[in-house]
Amino acid sequence: MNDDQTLVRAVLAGQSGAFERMVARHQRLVWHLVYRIVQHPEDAREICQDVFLRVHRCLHQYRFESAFSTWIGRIAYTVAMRFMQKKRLPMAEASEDDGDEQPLDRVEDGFDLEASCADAEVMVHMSAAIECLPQIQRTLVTLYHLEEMGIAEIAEITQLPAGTVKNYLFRARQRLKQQLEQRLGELA
Amino acid sequence: MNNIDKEARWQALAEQAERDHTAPGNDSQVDRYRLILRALRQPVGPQLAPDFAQAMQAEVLRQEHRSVVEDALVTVLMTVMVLIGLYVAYPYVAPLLGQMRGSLPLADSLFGIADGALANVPWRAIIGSAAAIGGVMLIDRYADSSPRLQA
Repeated sequence: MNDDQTLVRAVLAGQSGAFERMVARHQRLVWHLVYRIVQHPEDAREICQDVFLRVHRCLHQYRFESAFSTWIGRIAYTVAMRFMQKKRLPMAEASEDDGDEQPLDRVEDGFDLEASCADAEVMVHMSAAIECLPQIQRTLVTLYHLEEMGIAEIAEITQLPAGTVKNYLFRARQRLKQQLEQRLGELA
Repeated sequence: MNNIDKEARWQALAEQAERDHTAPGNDSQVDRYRLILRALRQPVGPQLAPDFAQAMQAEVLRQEHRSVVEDALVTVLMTVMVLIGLYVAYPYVAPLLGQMRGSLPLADSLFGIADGALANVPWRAIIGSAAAIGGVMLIDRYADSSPRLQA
């Protein structure tokens, strides 16, 4: 039995402090997922509270069939998406011509990875570019790169086919590279 | 190899290079993707409060306590309402119950019980109590099966 299963049983048994440990263990995942969807700190905090209250209320429904992080991720994703739908906030999808744009020719090849990583301006620009990705791409890159989840787990959380997840990830990285090259071109 | 294949290959090589921590510099396209992967691994700007987990635990305990008190209050209130309802309805229901007694001697003879034994049972009190308990149980059952916000 893994740690998560032990923790779930402890919470269900009403063990003191078990739920607090569960929240502490998964709050990073929930926060990253929710914040990347709603992009508003106050709303994200409220949704995170709602997510964990639902987790507590519905914990008896967890069947130990998938990883607990996937189960919590699915709840967080659903709650955040419902929030967006309720507020009728636009959920921009990737446009069809995403992959057709050509990299800018003006970018020189003398790219220095370490210098660029150390360049705060470039990294701030990249963070902004990530925030500007379409909502679904933002969510997927967060789960894949920041939370280091597998494609299958992400597909289960978002209810998207694995091939679609891979395609969105590819397009998101490609789009970010175009943004980066544009930025480097401006700096040159 | 078309552009998409090239990009996919650079992305794969960048992921591999990041996993292996290899030195950059061999391919500027791969290095650009490596920078993107590093940016993607940066934590999201604002974070939850350090005591968030503790606050959630407290909130859950508060909600559980409130739920127990609310359930008890609703049960008491419903019981009182049903009893009052029966008290009000009694003048109208009593004649109907009285008519039922007429058939009871027949039941006595049917089950071979001494004449009038069943007729002496305090039927009004029993039926009234059963109705009150049934009413409360129904309300309780309805409250349990009312739609909850599912995840």
